[in-house]
Amino acid sequence: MALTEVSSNKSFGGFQKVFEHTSMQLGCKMKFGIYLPPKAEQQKCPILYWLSGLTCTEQNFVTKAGAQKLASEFGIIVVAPDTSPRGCAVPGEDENWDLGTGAGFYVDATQEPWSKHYRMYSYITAELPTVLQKSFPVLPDKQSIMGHSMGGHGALVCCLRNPGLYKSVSAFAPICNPVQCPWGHKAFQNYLGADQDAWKIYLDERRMAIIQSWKKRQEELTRKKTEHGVDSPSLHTLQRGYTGPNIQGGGEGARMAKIGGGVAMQCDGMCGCISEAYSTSRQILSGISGTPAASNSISFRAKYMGQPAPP
Amino acid sequence: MALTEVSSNKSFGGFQKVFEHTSMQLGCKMKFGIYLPPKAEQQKCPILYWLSGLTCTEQNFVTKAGAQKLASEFGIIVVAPDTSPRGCAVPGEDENWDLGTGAGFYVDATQEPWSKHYRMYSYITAESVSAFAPICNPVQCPWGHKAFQNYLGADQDAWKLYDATCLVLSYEGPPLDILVDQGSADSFLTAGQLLPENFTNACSKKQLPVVLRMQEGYDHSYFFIASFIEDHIKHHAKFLLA
Repeated sequence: MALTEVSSNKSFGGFQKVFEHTSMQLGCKMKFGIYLPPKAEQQKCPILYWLSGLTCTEQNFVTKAGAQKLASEFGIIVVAPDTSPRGCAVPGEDENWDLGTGAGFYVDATQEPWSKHYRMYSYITAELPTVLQKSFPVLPDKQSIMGHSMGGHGALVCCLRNPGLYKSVSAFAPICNPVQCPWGHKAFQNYLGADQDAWKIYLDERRMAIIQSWKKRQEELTRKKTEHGVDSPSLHTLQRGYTGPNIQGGGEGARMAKIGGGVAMQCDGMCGCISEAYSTSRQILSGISGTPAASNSISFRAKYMGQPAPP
Repeated sequence: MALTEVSSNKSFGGFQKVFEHTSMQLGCKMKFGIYLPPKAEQQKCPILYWLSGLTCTEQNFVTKAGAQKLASEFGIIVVAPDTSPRGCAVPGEDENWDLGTGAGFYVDATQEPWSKHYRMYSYITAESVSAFAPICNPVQCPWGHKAFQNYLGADQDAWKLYDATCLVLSYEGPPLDILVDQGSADSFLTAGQLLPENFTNACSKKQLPVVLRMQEGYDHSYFFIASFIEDHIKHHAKFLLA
């Protein structure tokens, strides 16, 4: 996947660059800003993502925020992606400033005419990190995320949905509860359809609590495994979060599957994490849907694989 | 002369505002950016003028340079005017990016059709001096030739009144401490438009203190300005707050 450098300006001893590449997720050419501190010439650096808000491109943060000075001092690579796919000729995408172009809302749309191209969630959490690791001196395990407004919502959602994927998160005036506000209603109705449970996966107070308890149990499990000397690669896979529309992973470890507007995790039981995965996914789905925890193992898998999330 | 506030945004504890007024010199409405530090609410503050380059408006510096932080800390008001009169319907003023609109060159034009409105020199008053990638010797460079031919006519003595390198040689006045930052990767430098070495040579002849810092790898953009603006504000603060 070729990266084309669009611009490069020396800034606080490092370089503020803009690159363009073809995104598989979005099906179009996408630009992103990337600040490379002086330290990046000698060693790999941690990466900080900035997600911009409505109407922005990759330029706004790069030009106006004044982040380069401290990024230079701390030796942090700062990446500012665009806020939606561009030039895909999606009907209606230019009619509103808060829906469509410049208003991707960091979701993977499930509804027509958006679902083919409006996949900013996967672009940010899965595709872009892979692209960056191939071409820049980034430390793969050291990434954090922040954003403004719609981007603040994006940063919080990406972080909360992918425990362990980001070391930290921060936001400026984020849209904290889109399912309860006009912007969120408009975007989610169009991108995710009428299924309000599909909406909630993109941020929910209950989910935040669920993620917290997931982390606690994960720590407990890791501790147990260390005591018993069992390695747990599957936990790493779980931590990676959603990786695409199809079942990912294979053999040992957890798998992620996209089901309608929801996400379920399943484990093939080859590692010790099986109870963790099931109880976690039960909790997540029940947190969204309010259904009591499903029974574990085969029946759970059969029920949720390839079928819409429970109402 | 009525001032209309166009915008106001809180910034580093103070306010970045834009005002509009009718300029007598220019015969049109003009905007300027003004940063008011927190201190300005209690007391009068010194003022630092920023003059933007070709194609700019009052917005570029306000948005891109990152000066507000230090202006706030030092309690300095920073004013960024526009770079030419606007909307005066001067024939030909929109045909070139380096002549006319956005390209006032801070002269008082003497030639038609410019002389009525293109009076940026009188519009602006500068107190202390620092510069980023200045056009140091316009009478010797393509930009200067183009602008001065049009604004000032063929009288090359009139041109010298607007050339810093020439003016230094005949400077009489209070001591000046001049700071110039210049990017070494600036394409306008290599194109012979800026000529900083001419300026520093003239300063040496006159024994006018000047510091020219060649910044390795930097270009002509606001990224360059933002990288060093703090040094400039500190430089001015030394004199303004004394």
